[in-house]
Amino acid sequence: MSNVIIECHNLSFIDPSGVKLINNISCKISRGRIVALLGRSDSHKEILLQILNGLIPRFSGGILEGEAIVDGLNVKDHTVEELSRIIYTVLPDPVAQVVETTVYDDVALGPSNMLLPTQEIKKRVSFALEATRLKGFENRNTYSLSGGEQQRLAIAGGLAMLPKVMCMIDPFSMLDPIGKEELVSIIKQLKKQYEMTFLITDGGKNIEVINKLADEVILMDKGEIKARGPPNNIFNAKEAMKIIEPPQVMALFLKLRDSKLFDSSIPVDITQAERWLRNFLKDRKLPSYKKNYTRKYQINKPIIRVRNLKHTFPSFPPVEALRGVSLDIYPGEFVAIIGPNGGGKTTLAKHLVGLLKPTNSDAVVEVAGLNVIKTPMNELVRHINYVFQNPNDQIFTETVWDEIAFGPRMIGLTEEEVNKRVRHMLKEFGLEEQKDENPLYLSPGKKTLLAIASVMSMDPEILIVDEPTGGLDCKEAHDTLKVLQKMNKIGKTIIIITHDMKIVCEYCTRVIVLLDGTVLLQGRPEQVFSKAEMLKKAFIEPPPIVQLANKLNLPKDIMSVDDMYLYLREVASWSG
Amino acid sequence: MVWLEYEPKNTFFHNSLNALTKFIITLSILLLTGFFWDLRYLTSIFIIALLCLIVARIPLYWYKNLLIVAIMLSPVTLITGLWMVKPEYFKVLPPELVSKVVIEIIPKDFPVFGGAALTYGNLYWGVALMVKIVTAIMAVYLFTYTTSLSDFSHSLQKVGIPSTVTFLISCAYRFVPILIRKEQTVMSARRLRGWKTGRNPIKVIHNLSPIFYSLGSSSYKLVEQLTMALALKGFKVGQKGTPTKELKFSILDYTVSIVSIIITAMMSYLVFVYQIGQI
Repeated sequence: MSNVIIECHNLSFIDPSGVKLINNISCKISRGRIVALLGRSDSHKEILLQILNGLIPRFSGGILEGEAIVDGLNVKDHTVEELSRIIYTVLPDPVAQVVETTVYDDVALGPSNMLLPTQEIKKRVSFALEATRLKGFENRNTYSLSGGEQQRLAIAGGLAMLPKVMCMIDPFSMLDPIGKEELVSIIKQLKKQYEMTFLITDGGKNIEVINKLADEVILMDKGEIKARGPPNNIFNAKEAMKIIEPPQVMALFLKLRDSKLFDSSIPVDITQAERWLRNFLKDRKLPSYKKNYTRKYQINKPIIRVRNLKHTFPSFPPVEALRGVSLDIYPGEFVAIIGPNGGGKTTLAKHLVGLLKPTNSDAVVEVAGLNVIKTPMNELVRHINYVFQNPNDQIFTETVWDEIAFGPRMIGLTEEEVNKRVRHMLKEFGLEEQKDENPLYLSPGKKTLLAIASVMSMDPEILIVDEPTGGLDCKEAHDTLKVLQKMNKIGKTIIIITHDMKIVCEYCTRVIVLLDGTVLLQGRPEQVFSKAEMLKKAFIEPPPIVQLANKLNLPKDIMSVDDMYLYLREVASWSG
Repeated sequence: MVWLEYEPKNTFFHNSLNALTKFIITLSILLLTGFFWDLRYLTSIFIIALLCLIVARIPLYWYKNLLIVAIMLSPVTLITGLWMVKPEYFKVLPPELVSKVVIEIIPKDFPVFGGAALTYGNLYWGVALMVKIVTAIMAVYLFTYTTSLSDFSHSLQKVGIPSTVTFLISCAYRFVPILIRKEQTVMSARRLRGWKTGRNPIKVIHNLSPIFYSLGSSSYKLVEQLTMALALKGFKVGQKGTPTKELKFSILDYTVSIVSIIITAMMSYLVFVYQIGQI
């Protein structure tokens, strides 16, 4: 048996419109390796994976040139069904991968099609559900699951088939931090136990996880392989930094090295970094550090007031998504709602905009002084609005211009005012060049920006964005957050639902942690992230730089690489 | 919210009956509803179907949706009854009753077109048609709410239905709720953008037009997604998968199935030979 499981020889793919998306790729991947394919959205790394499992060009059309061989099979000569016994792919949109109505049946579908005996199917389902923390969900309707749970279900569906190669497109994007850790340990266990090969794509937002997990990294840009090697070597390379952000710890030390404060080999994890920093800080005077927040919000009268909000979904067994949530949000805040998958974040957001009604009669939900439960939605949307997790769910017109104009037209603005607002939004969101394009063909980043722009054009005071960075690469994520920050600076109250703790630390002024439908913690990011033990209950882990600062007892306001770098420079200058 | 879709629950229909038995019950209700026109018989089947839905603990909003369908259908069934059903159509009901005018719509001596009137016969036929449609929907409700897709397809395979047919049925069974769910999400997104249908019929059509566009594009996308998801899970048309659970056909299943088949066969005989339940 050859040790090489995947071989690509001069592989190119030209899409039906004639654009070359994959450009002359040649590579070999050994059995039992965990390989991360990193790159921006336009690197087309997902396309490479879909060529390997036969989805492309069979479902997409286009021309495939060169050869791709998986476990001795030339993908051109085999159907997706035949290849699925060897190579399984977890797609980026988990909803698209759910076929059956119950969790058990969905996970069992693959093994059933492999004609395994019923007893073996049961064993495999049990193993896959256990591995993805879905034990006990067997009888749940697949559509009653949260986004993160659906992603775990999609992974479980593949695990149960025990393929030789498991491809995962952005598998960490919707998982809570502990869910990511768990997936890392599952992948490592499967690699060890079954010599399974993993190909994992990421846009760079989960670089720390990739750093811990991957045996090697393939860096892609515009359909080509730009670099390949062990994660530490790749993340150190200047070429890589043009495409992705290195892990926080490495980024810090690269900055320190550039400013001549550090001249050794770059630490790759918190433990190594902690060791060096302890020596560096030893016997030095430690100054205080106060982060300068750009905007002070008004703390007198809340713009959102929620009291004893409960919601139970009528499934079997009934799901208590919210169990008496009470909270206040003030005008001008930039709030992050975080928590584990299925913790009630999206359910809470949907109550705030009136898409769901509380299931208890004594609940209070007030937005901008209006009783949400009694206010008609077309009145409410002028004050608060919501951007869905998947931008495709809210895009329905044929041009970008019409998409942004839809809301203002619906609330009865004059055509002159509508045009004025559309032009303004196109400029603010950097969509001027795409104004006549069909929104469905925009890049993921532009689609997210359009989804936000199409809601902001109605000029609400409060905007809730569910997973603003889901499916985006690092650059697109920051571009999106910067736009939201800009909106916040002009007085809008912004609420984001996210699993990306680095973004929470960098952009948000307050954090609300939801666990099992209740508020576990709330406060400024530095207050919340200093309570690591409590956060663990909610499957949350602070970003590495915050963990490092907490371990070293450094000021709590250190929330980002820049904060830490500035602080260490100050320490160095104070000590001469 | 789940609509026209299986939901796991602890009821007699969910847990005690095999998918095939439920299919036979549903088919029996559908056939009998199709055969009968007499409102007394149709009402009896309607009540049986309603009792089944209550036992299956169908959510209240399913009834609400059914009511909306009935209200929307009522003018259609009445108009159809008015234009399509002539007194000669009725074989059992007395001719003087079916031709008795309830409302005169166009006077008899109206030039060119002649007269038009709503008779008891038209009214009876229209109401019966509506009861038939509503009962048929209730039968579909009972089956879809209590039967999971995999149980259904494996049961069909077990009785020798070709897997290509099973595949087509399964796809339709899965596709409809996915499409409904997708449209619910898209409608919510639209409502959040101030979208409303309004009351002016021209405006309603105008405001609904984006929905048709998105319905078309999402249907196409959904079919593609479903096919891709099935292919990734190794599904091959024409190949039977192994059952994911032990499928038991208990004594209760045999009893209920045989009773349903006998009743349906007997009633069909009475309908076709003795005109029972006809008008």
